Amino acid sequence: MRFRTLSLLLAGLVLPLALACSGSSSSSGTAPTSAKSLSYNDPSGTGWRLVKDPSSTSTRIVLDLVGPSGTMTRGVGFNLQAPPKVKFGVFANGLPINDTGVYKLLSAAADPTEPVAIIGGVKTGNLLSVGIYQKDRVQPAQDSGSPLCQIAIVLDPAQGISAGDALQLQVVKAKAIPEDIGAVSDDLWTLNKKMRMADITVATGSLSAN
Amino acid sequence: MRRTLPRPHPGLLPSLVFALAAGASFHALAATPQLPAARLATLKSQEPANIARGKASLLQLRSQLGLATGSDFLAHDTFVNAQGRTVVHFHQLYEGHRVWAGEAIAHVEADGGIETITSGIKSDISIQGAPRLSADDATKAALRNLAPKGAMAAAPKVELVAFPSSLTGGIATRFDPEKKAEVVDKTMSTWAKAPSDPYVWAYEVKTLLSNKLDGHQEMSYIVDAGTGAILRKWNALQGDTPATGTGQSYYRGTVNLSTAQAAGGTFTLDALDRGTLPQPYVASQGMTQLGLTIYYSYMDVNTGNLGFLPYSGHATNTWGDGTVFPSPWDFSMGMPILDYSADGSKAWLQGTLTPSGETAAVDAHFGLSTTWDFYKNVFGRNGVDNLGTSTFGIVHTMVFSPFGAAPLQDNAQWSPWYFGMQFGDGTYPTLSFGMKAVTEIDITGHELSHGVTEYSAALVYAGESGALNEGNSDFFGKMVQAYADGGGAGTSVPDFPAGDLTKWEVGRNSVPSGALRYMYKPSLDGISADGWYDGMEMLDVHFSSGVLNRCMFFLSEGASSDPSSLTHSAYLPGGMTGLGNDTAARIWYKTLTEHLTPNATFDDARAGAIQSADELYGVGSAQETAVMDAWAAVNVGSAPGQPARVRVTFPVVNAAGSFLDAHAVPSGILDKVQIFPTRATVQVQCTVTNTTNTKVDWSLASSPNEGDQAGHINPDGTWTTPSWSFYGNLITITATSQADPAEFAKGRTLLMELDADTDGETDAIDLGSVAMAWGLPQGPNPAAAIAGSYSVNDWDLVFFDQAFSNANPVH
Repeated sequence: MRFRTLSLLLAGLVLPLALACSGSSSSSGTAPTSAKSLSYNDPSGTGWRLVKDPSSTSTRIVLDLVGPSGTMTRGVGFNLQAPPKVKFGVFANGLPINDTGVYKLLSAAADPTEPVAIIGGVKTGNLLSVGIYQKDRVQPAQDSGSPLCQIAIVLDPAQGISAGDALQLQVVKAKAIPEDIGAVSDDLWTLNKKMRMADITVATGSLSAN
Repeated sequence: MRRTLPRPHPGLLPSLVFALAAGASFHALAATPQLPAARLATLKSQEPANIARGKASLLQLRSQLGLATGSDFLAHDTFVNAQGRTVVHFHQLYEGHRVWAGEAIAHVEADGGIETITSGIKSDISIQGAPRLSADDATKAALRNLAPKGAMAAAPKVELVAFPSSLTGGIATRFDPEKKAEVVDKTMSTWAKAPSDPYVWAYEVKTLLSNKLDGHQEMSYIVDAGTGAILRKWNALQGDTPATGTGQSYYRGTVNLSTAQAAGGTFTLDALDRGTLPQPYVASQGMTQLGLTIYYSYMDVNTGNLGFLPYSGHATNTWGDGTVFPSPWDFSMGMPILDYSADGSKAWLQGTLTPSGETAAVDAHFGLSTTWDFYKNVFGRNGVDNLGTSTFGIVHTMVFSPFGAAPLQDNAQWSPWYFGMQFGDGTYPTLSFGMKAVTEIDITGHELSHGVTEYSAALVYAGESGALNEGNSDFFGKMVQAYADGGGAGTSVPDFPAGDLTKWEVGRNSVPSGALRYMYKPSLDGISADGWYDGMEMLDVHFSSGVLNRCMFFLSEGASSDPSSLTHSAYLPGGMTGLGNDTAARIWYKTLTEHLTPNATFDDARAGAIQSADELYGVGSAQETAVMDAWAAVNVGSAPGQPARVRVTFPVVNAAGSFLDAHAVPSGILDKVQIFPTRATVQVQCTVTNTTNTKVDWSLASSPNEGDQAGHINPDGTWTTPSWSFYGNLITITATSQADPAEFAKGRTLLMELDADTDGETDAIDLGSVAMAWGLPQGPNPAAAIAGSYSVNDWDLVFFDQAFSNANPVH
């Protein structure tokens, strides 16, 4: 114990000396400190965007996907690229995406045991990929102007995020199912034209560690 | 889960048995003695009263069993055993209707004690309202699914039942003999969602097709009485699977036959001394047949319909000449070669009525008669149904195929609809890999034993119960053979010559290239199981039967302690001494007829066999120990003194109540299938218990016909999946314990191509393409059918979900 304490003190002494000798421009020459909280500033605009949900805490930022008011969609999916140290959280459903109840995920038969089309995972390179979709054409499309789904970013000390780290988020790919995807009775040519997901651009705010 | 059964003690009964003692204690330490004939006759006369008492005992347990007020029981099979126990099998009833697969057994002892076996009872049944559909509606729904091309051979049989939704079917698999692998059987798969209620009204619809457009089919259905959806479907026909082989010599030489003589002095192949109740199918045709009769197939030339005629009008009462011939087939015309009746109105396979053609009838008659005598003399069983109902065998069988009437060829089968057997002629030597006449006595005993099972334990023909069903038939087929070898008379089963393993090869003389199965070492066929392993439920029942086959071989003949011996078991390395055929047969017959219910597992069979040994020979007897040893030797439970074995298992990824658990056939068959996407690096999961060394050696098996191989699983369980997916193939993963290489598990994986939007990238956005195509009968995007469905449905959602989640976990 005594030796360990001594070595820590030595480290603490060595660092500022090294900085002084090298002429470093760092402000005070202090070691980076682990982040204790996260903060997120919403992007501007009224298009597709990820905005902070009021349920967020300093260590768990919940982001809502919101679209343009009046745009009717049947589902949406996107890939969010984050730095390696960023950790995505899961919700009570065990997924990294939460259903906000806007989309009608069950078929018209409304059997609560049936599977629904909501999916999420983290691909190589810390790329969050999530999607939530209505499957039954009987269900109408929904106004995208309210939170359609949620994702979460959590602060995990093991990830080694330091205070002041800028954590850039970017949605690199996103698509939405439009309102008109054809009817069951349509011919294949009509269905082929209508059953196309539309590219959308999702704005992200600034995430920082404090 | 494999567990060691604790030795039963008085008062500490397995939870599935409720004891209501009304006299001496049931579990005496000594063997239960056999009663004198007069006493047994008295007990036999008291059967109706004992049935009522057994039923009353079950009804008293109504609340404990979670049965509604409207529940009842209907006795359907009853007999008195040599120890004076009246055994009664009951159908479970709900509001007067049979509960599908709901069964109970009552044991009414000679001293008045009553025990009930209730593990087969379905609890907490509550069905609201009456059926919305009529029996006629259900029949129409079944026939729509059956889609017959020709006319029905008989009106479907329809019965309203209370159906457990958990038994709803889904994906069915079949064994592809060319690929030597299990593949998805799209014909037998059903796609209905399991009803949300635990039990529903449903109609069981049994159909019979026998025409040149559809062939011979006995498809059965469960139709939801509320929605008309097909909840389950199966083929009621039960037969053997042909195999390739080499040539062997022919059967049993000169045998004595029971026949019937007509008023004019001619003779018929009809054993009048075997069967006192009319043959039911013959009776349904407006005729009467008593005894055990041999028929041959014929075709009505004018109508094209098939029927059968007895071997009769024989002048000398001397049958056959000891030779056989393969199914007569004109390869240039693609049709059978026929002989015709004198008036030209009837036709049958060429040679049927020649002395050589009679030979097959002789073998069939001898086999059926000997099997009947075996059950009657050894166990006191009066025929297949224990009621003395007459049965028959049809030789030179013709069935309908898509090409018209054709020989049955390399098969023999028990037909529940006919209550009789059909024998093929075999295709050898026309086809070098074919079989000779399929009338060898162990095959006959095997098929008739399916009938015995149908009228006792009624083992469901899938999963472990199906394996028990098949193994039971193999074992009793061999016991019939042993009985015949010993003269075919008397009340005991003789042993085979010591060390002659060929006697334990099923169909050894019918399959020129070898045998159908090898009971002493089932894996000799390259597929069958030598012992239980996690994952064997995916095997066809003709191969998973290896567990019971080998167990019964060990119980009869013993196991070697020499590791180089074919009769050595790594699970019981010290070997064991066998009890002989007679003792083994009595223990197993008692187990089958008194202790097993339709969904019995290997564990249940082991428990039942131990209990049977206790009842016959006493708790702690050498016979009880031998039973425990024999099951341990096939990796089911432990032998006395054995420590718990290393267990390798694949985790349940689709637990009870999940979509795939509820929809697969048989229930639970997809519980452990790990679904992965193509072109991904994934982590294969398995669990090793009862050891500190949890490392396994991995291997992958894929059909060489698939082109690209499946790759390799790294020692740490990671696997980079190949770029192809072939929905029809379940790729087998084997994990072998490094701590005990005798212990392994076989898991299955399905590889899914998830790029549903064909943009070259797999991500959550692909699920949107699947969702857009959901419910379309045939959409414009075939890639959206992840599971290979004809129309995109919930199966595709679930498969996508599992594959994507497995490859992209959130850490």
